[in-house]
Amino acid sequence: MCIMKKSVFLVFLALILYSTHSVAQIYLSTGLNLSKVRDNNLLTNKKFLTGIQMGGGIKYYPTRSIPKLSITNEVLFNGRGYEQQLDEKYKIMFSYLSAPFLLNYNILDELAITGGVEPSLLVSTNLIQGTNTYKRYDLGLVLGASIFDNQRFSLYTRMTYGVIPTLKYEKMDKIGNIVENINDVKNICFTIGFKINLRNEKIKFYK
Amino acid sequence: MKKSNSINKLLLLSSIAFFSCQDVFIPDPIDPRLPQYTENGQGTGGALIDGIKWESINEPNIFYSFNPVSIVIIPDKKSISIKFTGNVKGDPTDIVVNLNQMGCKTEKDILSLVEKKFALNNGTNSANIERGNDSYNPSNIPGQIYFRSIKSTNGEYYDVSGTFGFSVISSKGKLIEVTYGRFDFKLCKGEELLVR
Repeated sequence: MCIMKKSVFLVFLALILYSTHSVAQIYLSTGLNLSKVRDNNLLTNKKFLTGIQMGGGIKYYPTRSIPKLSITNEVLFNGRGYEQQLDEKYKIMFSYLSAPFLLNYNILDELAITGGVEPSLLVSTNLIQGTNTYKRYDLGLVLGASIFDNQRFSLYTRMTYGVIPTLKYEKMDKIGNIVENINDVKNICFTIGFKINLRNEKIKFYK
Repeated sequence: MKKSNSINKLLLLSSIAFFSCQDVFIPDPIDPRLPQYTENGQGTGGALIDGIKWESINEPNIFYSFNPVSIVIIPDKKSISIKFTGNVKGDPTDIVVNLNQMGCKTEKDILSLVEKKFALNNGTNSANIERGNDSYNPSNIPGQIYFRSIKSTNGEYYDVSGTFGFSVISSKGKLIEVTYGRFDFKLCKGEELLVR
């Protein structure tokens, strides 16, 4: 694990050095996730869990008439989950591969707001047979902002609000009767991170 | 003497010992202290005793004999005695369920229990906790054991799965609830495993 972290750091360092003269539209990103789930009084004593977000994306400008509007496609690894404080702490961790589709609008030269959708695929969990217990697909609505998007380094923050229940399960009462089939537990995730722009070229779909 | 031996032999022949091939604890997504309810002979059992995690022990160790978890069918009483051996925070704690006048005479009759719920601590059936020198008495709060699935597999095993919950009263008069109980064991048919 330590070797993996070092490798990732070295790759980022190399990309930073390589891209010292580039500024724009293809980028790598990394961030810190603060995640939790929301549910209908199903899980007790939930707490936030930290994870990482990393990946890359491409940004392009679809129309001349709205030059402040851009579209972003990303591919991200998202570490999410939650913690339950019961007799002891239980960390429930999910690794998602996400492909957000985002619209960005520059309200100021260096400040853009972002919104869109984020479909995700559950790749792994820290639970035995977790990918059988939880649904493999998730979908979240994304709302966020970024600053200095046209600089080499930029910062972003976003909130991802899961809209698909990730757990389909039988809920039982204290003596073992099945009381209902639940379809619940939706992800919530706050992210703050930074991007490294690799290319100094605006990708436009118009001349 | 001969009759006693005969009854003992019948007891042995009709006893079914749980054993596990590959015990895999799959955590419950609602309460990760408990195993997820499964129906494939996973070899796990769990419950909360007074809100504290109880987990079944299904392997021999220095505290338990071989086949610690068992069902014994008592043909002359047409009864079943189930013992789930386990621990709470490392302290050996067993859960014992006695179901009387069930009509079970042989191990095959266990298949008749599928999808049936039995009230516990109702005067006929009983459930209790066995923990060291502590003694517990059944409470008058209704409990239940529910055999949700019993499958005969490979001609050698029964996969027995179900849920349970009941209450007892400690010697100090405290009400102790056994809640959200579930089990999923592979029962081995065969005389060589009849150790009880």
